[in-house]
Amino acid sequence: MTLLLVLGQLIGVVLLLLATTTALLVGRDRIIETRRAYRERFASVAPYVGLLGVVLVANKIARDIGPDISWLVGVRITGWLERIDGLLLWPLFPEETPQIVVWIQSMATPELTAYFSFVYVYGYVFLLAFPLVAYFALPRPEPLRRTIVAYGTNYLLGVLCYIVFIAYGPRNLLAEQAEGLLFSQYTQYQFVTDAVNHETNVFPSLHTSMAVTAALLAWTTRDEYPLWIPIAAALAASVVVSTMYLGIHWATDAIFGIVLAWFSVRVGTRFEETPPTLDGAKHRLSAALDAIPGRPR
Amino acid sequence: MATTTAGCMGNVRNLVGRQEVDQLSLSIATLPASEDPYAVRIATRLAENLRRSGIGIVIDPVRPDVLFRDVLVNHDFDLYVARYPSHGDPDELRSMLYSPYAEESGWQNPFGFADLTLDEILDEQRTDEGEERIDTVHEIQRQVVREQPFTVVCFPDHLGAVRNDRFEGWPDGGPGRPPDYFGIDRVGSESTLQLLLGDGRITRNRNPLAVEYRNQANFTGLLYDPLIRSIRNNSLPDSEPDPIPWLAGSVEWTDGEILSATVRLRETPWHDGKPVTARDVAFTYEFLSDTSLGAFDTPVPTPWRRGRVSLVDSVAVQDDRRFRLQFTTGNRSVARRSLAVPILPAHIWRERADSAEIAGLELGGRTTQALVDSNEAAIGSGPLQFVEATADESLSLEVFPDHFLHTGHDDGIPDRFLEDRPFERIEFTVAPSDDAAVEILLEDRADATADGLQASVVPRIVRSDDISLTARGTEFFYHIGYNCRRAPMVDPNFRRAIAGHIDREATVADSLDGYGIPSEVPLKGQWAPGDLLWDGEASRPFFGTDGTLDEAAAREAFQEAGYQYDSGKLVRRGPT
Repeated sequence: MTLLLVLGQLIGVVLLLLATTTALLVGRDRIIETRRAYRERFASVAPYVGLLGVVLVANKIARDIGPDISWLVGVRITGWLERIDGLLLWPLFPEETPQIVVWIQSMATPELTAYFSFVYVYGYVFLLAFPLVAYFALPRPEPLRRTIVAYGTNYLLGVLCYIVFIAYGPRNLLAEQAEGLLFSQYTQYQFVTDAVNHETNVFPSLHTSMAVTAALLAWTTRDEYPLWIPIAAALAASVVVSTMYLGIHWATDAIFGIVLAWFSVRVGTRFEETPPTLDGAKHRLSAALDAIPGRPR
Repeated sequence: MATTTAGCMGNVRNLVGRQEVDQLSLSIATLPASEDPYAVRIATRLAENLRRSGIGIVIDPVRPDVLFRDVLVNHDFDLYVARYPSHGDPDELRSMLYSPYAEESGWQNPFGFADLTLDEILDEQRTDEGEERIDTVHEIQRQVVREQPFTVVCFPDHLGAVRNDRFEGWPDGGPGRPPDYFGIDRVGSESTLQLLLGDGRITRNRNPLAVEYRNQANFTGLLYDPLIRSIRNNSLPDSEPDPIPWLAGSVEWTDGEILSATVRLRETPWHDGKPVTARDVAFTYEFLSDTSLGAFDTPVPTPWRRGRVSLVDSVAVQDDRRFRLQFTTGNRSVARRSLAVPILPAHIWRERADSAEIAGLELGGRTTQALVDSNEAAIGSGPLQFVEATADESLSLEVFPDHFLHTGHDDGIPDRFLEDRPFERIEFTVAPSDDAAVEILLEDRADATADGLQASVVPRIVRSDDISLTARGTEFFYHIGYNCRRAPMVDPNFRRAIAGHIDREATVADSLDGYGIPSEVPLKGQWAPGDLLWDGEASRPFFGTDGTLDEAAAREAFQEAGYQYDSGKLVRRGPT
């Protein structure tokens, strides 16, 4: 019941944010144009949407059975994340180096907690959803395709990492010094996060990588949506900080999240510049087979 | 010239031939805060202090079933921090420390500790009576404090939150042990009891022998009945629990050279309708002492309640409902412990004696199906029967109408268990966290918590008028376990030095927010030796004050024990 209530609230707030931003950034002309041409546009990205659907379903299955597989075959890295995080602030505090998350939380105020909780839940969903709307409203299909490929890459690699590496976030280890602020202050959100994710899926931070991906993609559409760049950058930065502020992720998770974002955007861009074709795949396969010595041609 | 070169090469060979020294690095396995916030807090406290003493520490938080599989089954750990699910009985120490148990899997000597003198007094407390037994138990604990096979930290309080609008008469701390459920009173017409769980293991596995899924086995205790239940009178919380004849309608003791008892079973069926017979009881004791039923070269005993089963020497079936037990001890109150194991239906468990062939455990022919089966349908003879479950979400149980509590075969059962049934069904829901559990209670979607809450939610509970806080002391104790099979934990001096890195007083005050009692011995009350009762300071004191470690003193302790430092790090030769 709480789950439905919180989900309803989430959808409502995000729709409101989307409507406002779309009206301001996308503009009337593009919306009218999109209403006229939505069939062709949908057709030009349809295979990609299908791809994203497949990725999401695979992702859901992997998340359901992933933890059990991961506990059997995965590498436990919580202790190492804690040790690496404990070294990162060394240049600032060489004497007694604090844990980054503990250091960030030492600056906590109720207002900041409210802000970062809002950003972590609503801001994040909005940041990911707006590019899909805005890029659909563009006549050229590349930005939307690039976005879908980059999102998909993020998820696939993220889920693979979650199976290979098993780790708990700082709130689960530094329980006395770092609080899981989101869940102790805004308990209702836990019913949602618990339904969509597992607490051992920590490394890397998918919140960070998806948010940074959206921000990096904003740069590729700077001519069409110049105003989206500062908004996306500020939101992405807030999401990254929120993952640590709320005690959900280690700084190391966030750093690898940024690397994953950069990589995913590159994949998205490459994919768009040199789209993979069936012929290309056949060609590469036969080239690979030819390379096997002694094989009759 | 030739001689100089040869001499020089000799020096090099001597130098290179010596093994390099490396910093000692240890891992501390524990549970994540979402499962047990106190354990992880004690572990991080210990880790921080040991790092100050120059030891490299990696903390490894793992899911409970994985932790207990590593520690209790595979013996793959350096140090761990967890609760021991004690019932407060001194004979439990024998299971924990008896050296012949070191190779077995389960809560029997997970430390791999071996001490012949201790083995002798552990056996002695089984035969001693009265004051003599108390003295022996005190002596055992003095040895435990001296040798530190494990380091006791504290007894936590069990906290619960309850609503009183549909049900009342909750036991302190909320429902816990199986009989607690039948002392609850219904207020309105609602016949389904809604309870919240923090630990979802019972929703995945209902095998009473699967040690990695059980604490005190309270939930499987609703599904399976023992011959005798020890029930504490809630109005006299400090008294020793009363033995109530449960599945056994009557027990006649015969003293003599060998202590024995003739037991007559109550007339009651299994949940699948077949009658409970004396043959099921005989099977249970045989099966628990070797779940392979003689098929393996080495017996594979139950990993949980091993000590209890070892008290029974033989079971002779006399007729369908009558049998005679012979014990390995002459002490009745010790022997009675063996009557509290869950009785299993032979027609279901007999085929689980085969070798197990699934992943997750180191098999190698030493594990039976009985230990790894998740036993989802859980056919027992208990007062509640299994209805349905969704892993990590929920579990539904309903009252078993044919149970002897409801069919009049209830001689010797106290009246408070025989009054009108307080509920027809229990719905357990797994809450994502303790904060979420309190939230669900506040929203009036549950009646009580059925396992412990952490102290951090106490302010939320007491601020509300609708729900109330309730607490009880426990026999559970947090402890640091050492794998004495591995160097340097094999060295008692090393373990004693580690024990000096935990400040029990500060731990209880800060990590448990005061909801617990510090202790350095595993037993309470009359069983705790007077000279080791907690008086604010451990007999092996903390190296420091108010939770802050005195590095110099701590390092000196390691040096006195023969350990060496190199540029601030505790170093050892060879691979660590």
